[in-house]
Amino acid sequence: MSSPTNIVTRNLLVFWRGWRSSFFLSVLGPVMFLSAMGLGLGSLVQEGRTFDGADYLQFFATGILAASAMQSGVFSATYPIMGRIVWQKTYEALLATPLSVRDIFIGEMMSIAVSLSLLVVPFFGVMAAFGIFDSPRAVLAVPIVILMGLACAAPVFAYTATLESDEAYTWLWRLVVTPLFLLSGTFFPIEELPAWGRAFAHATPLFHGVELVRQVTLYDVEASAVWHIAYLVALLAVGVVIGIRKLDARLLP
Amino acid sequence: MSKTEPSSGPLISARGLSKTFESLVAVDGIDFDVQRGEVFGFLGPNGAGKTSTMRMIGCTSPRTGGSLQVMGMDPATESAEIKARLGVVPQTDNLDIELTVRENLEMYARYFDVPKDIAKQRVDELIDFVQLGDKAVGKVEPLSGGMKRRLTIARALVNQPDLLLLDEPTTGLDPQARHLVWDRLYRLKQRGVTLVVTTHYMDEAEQLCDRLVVMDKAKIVAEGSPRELISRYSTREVLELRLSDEVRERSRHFLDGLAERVEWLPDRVLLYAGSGETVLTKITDSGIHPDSALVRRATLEDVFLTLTGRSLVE
Amino acid sequence: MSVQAPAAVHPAPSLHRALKLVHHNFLAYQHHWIAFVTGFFEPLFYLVGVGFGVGQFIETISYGDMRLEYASFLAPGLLAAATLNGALYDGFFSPFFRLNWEKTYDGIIATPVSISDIAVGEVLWALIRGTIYGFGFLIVMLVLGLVHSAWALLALPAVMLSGGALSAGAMILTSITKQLSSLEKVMTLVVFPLFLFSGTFFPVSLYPEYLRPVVQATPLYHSASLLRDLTSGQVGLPTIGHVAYLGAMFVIAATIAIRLMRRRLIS
Repeated sequence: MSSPTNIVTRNLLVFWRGWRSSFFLSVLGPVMFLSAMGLGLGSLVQEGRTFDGADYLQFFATGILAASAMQSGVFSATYPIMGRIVWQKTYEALLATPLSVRDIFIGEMMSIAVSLSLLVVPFFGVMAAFGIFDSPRAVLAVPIVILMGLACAAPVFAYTATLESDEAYTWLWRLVVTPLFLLSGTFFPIEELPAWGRAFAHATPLFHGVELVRQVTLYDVEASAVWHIAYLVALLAVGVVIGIRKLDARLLP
Repeated sequence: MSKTEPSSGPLISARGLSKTFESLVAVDGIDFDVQRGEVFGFLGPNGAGKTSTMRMIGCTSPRTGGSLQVMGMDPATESAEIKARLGVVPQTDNLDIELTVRENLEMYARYFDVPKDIAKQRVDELIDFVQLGDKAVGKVEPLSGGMKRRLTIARALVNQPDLLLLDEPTTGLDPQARHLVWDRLYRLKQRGVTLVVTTHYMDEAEQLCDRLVVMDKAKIVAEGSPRELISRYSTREVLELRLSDEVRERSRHFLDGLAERVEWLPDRVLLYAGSGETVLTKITDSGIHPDSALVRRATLEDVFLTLTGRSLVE
Repeated sequence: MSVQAPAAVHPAPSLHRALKLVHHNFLAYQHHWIAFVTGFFEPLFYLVGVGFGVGQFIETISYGDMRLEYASFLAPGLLAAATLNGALYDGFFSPFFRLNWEKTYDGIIATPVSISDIAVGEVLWALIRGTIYGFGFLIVMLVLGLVHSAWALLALPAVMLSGGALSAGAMILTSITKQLSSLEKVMTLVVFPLFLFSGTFFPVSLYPEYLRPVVQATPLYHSASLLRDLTSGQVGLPTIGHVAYLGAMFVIAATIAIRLMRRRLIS
């Protein structure tokens, strides 16, 4: 039995106790957002304007699917992890067992993957019920956004390992997550942005996630899909490597 | 400046004071007086009603019955005026972690309307008094338990109170920190500040208090100075014996007749007598050999044991 | 010997004492001024991202007797939303932690400052911070050409009025919320819907008939509509209605909040 799964088990145990309310709330949020904004903004869109053939609700919903996964992934790598390092010192206790720092990191990432699925799958289900998707290939969106969520979580995890207090999260959220959320093609196609804005978007993970999701759900899968996937995998890999190194330095100085 | 306060007469006076929550009687009709300039103690185990009493004196909890006068005023109607002349050191520190050490004191001075120029000087003096000079510009969180407690004491003195209330001031502190706190409190007493202390540590009560009341289960069971209480409710000395089980059983009847009072605890036997050595000699002469024997002076712990049949620390 | 204790007299809150809480917050913020400054940027991002980004393919919106570009429609809504955010932070999150975790208020009420002073003081601080942000945002709106009338001069007092009402409401939340877990429920079931269903991002007319009265009963709706009326110049009877709603809410919520906070701390 591989050790990282112990972490997953522990987290599931904790999650299981509060699952009802937390599940409800974490899915309810995005669903409400989608209904209100998607339908609301959608009905304001100019007559006849489409988004490469899709209507605004479809365009927006696919963007929000990816964005919710990003926010969830990032959040999972902030307060909960900091809690375990600094406030409750959970990891300190875990390291007294045969678990290594690498096990802890991988285990937590696996946990984040589980919690992302618990968010994404129901959300996807709701969207499918709304008739957002055109083809059965749309199901591929689920693993795609989970990959993207993890790719966003890993570097943030590495960052958390270097922090003493949660003050930094204020600006992380306001000056990084929020602009990404708004300007990566979620709300509007990035073609609307000036050239430098588009270039910048290409360097960020959410953009790639959103493009991939739209390709499999609304449009056709293109050759560019390879680059999008490569970007996400590379970001995840680098995040994991640096993350383990930082966590190790923090827990075993 | 003071309205109705008599220049002589007790600083705090309570008659039939009681506090009841829903179904629980926390304080059950107690009477006491605290004289100006003394260190007055409330000694008792956790749950005896000490903290509830302190909160009533400190005007943060309304009383449900009886009368209470603090510095000549009634907490029910003149709480702001009383608080202005009071200093409170609570059981758990409630220092502001968003501010630095110095800012905690400065802010508190502001809450008390201490004029700015005087406040600055006073804050400097207080930081000196509690010996936190090199920590003054730092945050509160990294301070040790003892330092936080000293800061809380300094904060309670910002308004130069006539009366200082301290609820379990050294609970949770290591011995060195405790002695430092006692030392500071003693100096305050020398300056004429009246101190009211609650504690469940008998050494603290004996060291600090001029007079004290013993509280148990919401009532006062005894009052007087530490020495008076010991001589009234206990003998001068105590012999502590540890006996193996069968020796205990065999010698029970014999030991019971040997001293003024014998207390059978689960792990020890306490024999109260004027001279512990004399009793010990009688025991060994009769062939009984205890696993260990200790002769010591009687303490307030023994007083409490006599009065209630239980020990102070459960 | 069992004399009935006299009924406790609670000193009324005083401005002088409440202002000390304002100073307290000011001191605390000096240690995280970055949080103060960045708080200003969030609504700006939304304005640019959604207002101008999405605005590219959105029809002009009919409002009163003019047609507004989406960005002009959205901006005052965002201003109201930002005010709500600030009110929530200063009137709910921060006091919640001070009351339940840090026990800061326990220390303060041992001084002549009472819990009513604390409640008033925190609301005042929320008002001040909200007004500062509001002022900055209005300047940005002006620069971006989203202000269409001289009525906008009243927008700052309107921000203060909204801020006061919303902060007092937030303070009620503080007095009744006891556990950390309740925080998440409050955010998702109360706050989040407030943002979405308030006429901030799109007009209330888009809602089905039966939902409209629900939206129009919420404070953020009135706050957003009031500001929108002022910045677009569509001032009329409904505007006075919004002012009345917010004024009444402020008075009622503040009274309730003070009473509930008192009950929380004095046992």
